[in-house]
Amino acid sequence: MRGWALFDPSSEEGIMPVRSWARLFGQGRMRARLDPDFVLKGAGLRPTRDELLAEMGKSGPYWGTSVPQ
Amino acid sequence: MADLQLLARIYHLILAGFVRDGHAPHYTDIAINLGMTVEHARRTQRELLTALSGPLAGEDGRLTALGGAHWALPATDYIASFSPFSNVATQYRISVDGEQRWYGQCGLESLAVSWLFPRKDVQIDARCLDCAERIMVRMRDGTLEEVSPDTVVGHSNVSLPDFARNWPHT
Repeated sequence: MRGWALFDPSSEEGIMPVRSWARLFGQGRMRARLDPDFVLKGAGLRPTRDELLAEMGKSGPYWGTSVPQ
Repeated sequence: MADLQLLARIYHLILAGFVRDGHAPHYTDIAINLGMTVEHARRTQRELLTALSGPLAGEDGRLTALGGAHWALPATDYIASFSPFSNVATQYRISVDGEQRWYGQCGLESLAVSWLFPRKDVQIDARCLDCAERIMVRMRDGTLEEVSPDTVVGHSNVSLPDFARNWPHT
């Protein structure tokens, strides 16, 4: 991974087990995309990415969330 | 500006088309399906992509909360990518119940594909961009069933807030 020619060292935090990424990309909105009314209800689907990131202990600039005090 | 009901119907037609056929419908198909003129369908599809993920999506604001990336090939109305699928070949080959017909938008969005195929085996085959080793992930209803090699990690070279700066690059 780190030997990849285009690897950006500032993205080190973004190296995670596939299982963790699958959890992040299995949040409420991802599951309901094929529902005919997805666009109408989508913004209200939970959990959201931010909620999951908090559960996973991910915070800071890379993740786009504030660091807990 | 198209109303939200129409945008929702077009979104569903496009994604359902990917699931069924492995590629996006053309806007002429959308026109026929929804009883619209071809030009109305073209303009509304363009509006949908812009509202979802276009450079002005933040200003439009109606659909950005849905997440994902959706764009057309430059200077055209040909859909290039529509989360979680790609309409052009990528390194993420996706098979459903053993049939390879789909391409994932990226490695991470590929992990969201299995939600669109309930009770089916969804397999993602790719190669590591660093060492070209084969990578295989098999999922069912969002659950990881098999990962090979078992040391596989996912990675985004771009921070999450920067995803939308340049979707094809991300």
